Amino acid sequence: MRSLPLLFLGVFFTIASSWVGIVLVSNIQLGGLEPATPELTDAEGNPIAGVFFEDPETGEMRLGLNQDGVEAWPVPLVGAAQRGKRVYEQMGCLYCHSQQVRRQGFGSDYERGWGERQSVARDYIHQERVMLGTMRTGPDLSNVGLRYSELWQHQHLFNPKITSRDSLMPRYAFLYEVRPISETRGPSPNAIEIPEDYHPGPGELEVIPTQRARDLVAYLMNLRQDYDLPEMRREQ
Amino acid sequence: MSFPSTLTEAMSPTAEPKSDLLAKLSEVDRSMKVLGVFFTVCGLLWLMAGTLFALVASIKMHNVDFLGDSEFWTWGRVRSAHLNAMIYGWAFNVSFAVAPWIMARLCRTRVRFTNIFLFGGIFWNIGVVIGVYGILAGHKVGVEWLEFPAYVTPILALAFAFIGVWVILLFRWRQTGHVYVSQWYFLAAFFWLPWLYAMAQIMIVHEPARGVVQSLTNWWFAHNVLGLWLTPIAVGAAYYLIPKVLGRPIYSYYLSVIGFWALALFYNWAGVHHLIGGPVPAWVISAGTVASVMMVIPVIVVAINHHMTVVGLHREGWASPTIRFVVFGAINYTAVSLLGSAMALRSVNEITHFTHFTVSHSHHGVYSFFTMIMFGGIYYMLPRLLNREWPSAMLISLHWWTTAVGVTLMVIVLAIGGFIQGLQLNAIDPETETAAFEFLEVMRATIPYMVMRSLTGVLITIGHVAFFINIIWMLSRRAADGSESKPTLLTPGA
Amino acid sequence: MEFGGYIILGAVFAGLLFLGAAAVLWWAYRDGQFSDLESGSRTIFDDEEEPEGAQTDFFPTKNPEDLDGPPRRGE
Ligand code: HEC
Repeated sequence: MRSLPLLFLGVFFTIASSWVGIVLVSNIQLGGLEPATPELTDAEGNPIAGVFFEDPETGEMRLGLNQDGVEAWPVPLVGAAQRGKRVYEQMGCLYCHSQQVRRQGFGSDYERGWGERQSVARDYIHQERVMLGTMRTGPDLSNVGLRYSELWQHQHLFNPKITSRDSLMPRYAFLYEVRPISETRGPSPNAIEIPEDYHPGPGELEVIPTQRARDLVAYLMNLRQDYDLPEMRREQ
Repeated sequence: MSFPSTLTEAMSPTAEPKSDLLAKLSEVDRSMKVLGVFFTVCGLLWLMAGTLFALVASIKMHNVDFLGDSEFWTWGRVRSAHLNAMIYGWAFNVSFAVAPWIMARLCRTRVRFTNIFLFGGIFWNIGVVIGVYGILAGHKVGVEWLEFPAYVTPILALAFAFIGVWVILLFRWRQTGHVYVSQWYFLAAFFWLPWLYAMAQIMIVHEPARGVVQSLTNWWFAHNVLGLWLTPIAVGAAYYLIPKVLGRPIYSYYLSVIGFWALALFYNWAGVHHLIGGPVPAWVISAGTVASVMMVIPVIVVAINHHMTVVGLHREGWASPTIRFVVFGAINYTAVSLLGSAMALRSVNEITHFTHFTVSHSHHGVYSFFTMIMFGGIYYMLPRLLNREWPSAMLISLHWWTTAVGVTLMVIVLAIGGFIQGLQLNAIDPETETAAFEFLEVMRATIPYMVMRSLTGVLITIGHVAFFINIIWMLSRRAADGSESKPTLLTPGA
Repeated sequence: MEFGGYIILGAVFAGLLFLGAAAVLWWAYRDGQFSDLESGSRTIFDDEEEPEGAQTDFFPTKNPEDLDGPPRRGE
């Protein structure tokens, strides 16, 4: 083959086709998603099953409307949780933890208690950085905020072996300040309880979470997909 | 402005070769010397750095306390530093070394304005240094394959612009009427990459798209860096090196046309198989699965072509370091691609997704296939550029055996470990309807495989050190004159 | 625009693309782009320096005819 324009044309069209197909079309389909109430209504305010309803006049399929006076989900992260997400990103938690629950019957996500329902595109619309993840060296974290207390999270981050024997998760002790207990003021109220075996110096030292640790735990406590979305009302 | 007219002229199928630039192969080699050596050395240094990161990350996977209190060396960062050093450092640099050199030889032209390329290359490497440091220092972006901090984007984009323009120019100077199949692959790759990179940077890092559209863009990009950049570079190089070393034309040129277009058509749709089961529209996944399965066509075509070219010349091939590495890579291209098509099937993916099987697969692709072919390319290229023979056959042998055996074992170990991990993760106890294995049990079961992976990593590291010594030794030698052994048949009789 | 519209639009584009591809292929065929394909595979050889039929790479010390130029296979 000798014709270069032909080569370039072909090369251009192949990549353009997948870009349009995968990126642009899904952007058209998903880019307009908004928070939704658990149930949507038609133009008259009657509840509908699922996301679309048929316009009685034109017969066209139209998007359902949010119910009045009902909270729409998801809501964006704010404050400490939002900053904590940045810590999560910087520490590379993404490479061991996914944030997506697959439907019941696909893998064991449901049976492991990682989520009561499948994650859907609408769950992620507020996230300026979506970290679905591709690896499960550790458990899925979509709903980890529902599973543990803040103390558990702090202990686990300080040294995962405290809560999980033999854990392969790295410790993030550098997010904590280990300092001598003040002689005048006594132990700090912010110090976290660490079991004796893992404590850097029981009775003398105390472990205080830094701002980043507190942000990160705030983020983890906010990881939950326990609200209902209209997508779930459709037969799967 | 004369540029557009000359560009179209260059692209015209009927353009006459301008004979003033026509060069002999040895002259082409000489004119590419600085570029080839520069990018080889940069790639080599990145290979060593990436190997170091790999070892640290691998040891940390079974021995979590290793460097456990260093934030800089925390696992999540070292892993990304490893990936980015290997891809943007090693793989890109070695591509910049080997592909344009083959291109120049096929164009039979004396190259000019090499400073444009060199300038781009220097900037590229500065960008990668800043990027890798940024990852370790905690400025990383949480998107796989795009971890470089956002401030690195302009540097890399600018650098690639210089490099890309020069490659187009190089092609414009060609003195031959025929455009060989390797050139299609290279030209396509140099065209595809900036498109991919620009789109991914804009839609993910700089103006993030809404929700999971980011994830779709992410895997469209990341898989296509493999499919539309590394793969065409390595397949193009193999299409040149195998027939060239053996002195036997490619088995079927006709098949190579089909193979090229099938790859161009299908590969760029395949990436979304990384999201099977995820919160993305089902039709995208179906399209990705179909494309992944269709990839069987170009893969089989390339496999037939390469195999039939080598067949009957195995003894001769074994005597050539280049052929050893390139054929190893070509065989693994077939294996990794067929495996990849299988992994895109829903039922297989359900097991392998989220496990070390995926890690096995990516090393199979980037190392067993791409990197091995590039090693072969360097073994062929450097003696010709430097007019010097490789100093040590023993080191070449050592490099070959350690990397070939090491990476094969690594891929097998991780595949087995990952498959078991997947089965255990998915197993459901039919009576209680709960997971049959506790998560911690599954995790613990992977540890022996992680240890074995580190051992295979040590083996590969030995190979890289041998390669490093051989290259540095070769560079520090004086150029061959009559007294030294002759470079590999570079200029017979000269 | 609702789904039906997108599907029609998509179908039209797909059809145009397909027709375009078919037309280009037809042109290429008529133009002779596909004639005599196999000869292209020989363009990588060079009669003087790296001729067809001669192996051009060996382990450094294993080249049997180090001083006598490339060994030719009997063909
Ligand atoms: C090297 C892989 C790895 C990295 C990196 C990692 N983890 Fe983990 N993580 C694990 C493993 C393995 C477990 C399961 C054992 C355990 O509970 O410690 C786990 C468990 C968890 C759990 C408990 C989940 C549950 O349902 O029991 C949380 C929460 C968690 N990790 C958060 C994080 C955060 C936050 C980061 C980043 C700062 C992180 N992980 C980084 C491997 C990792």
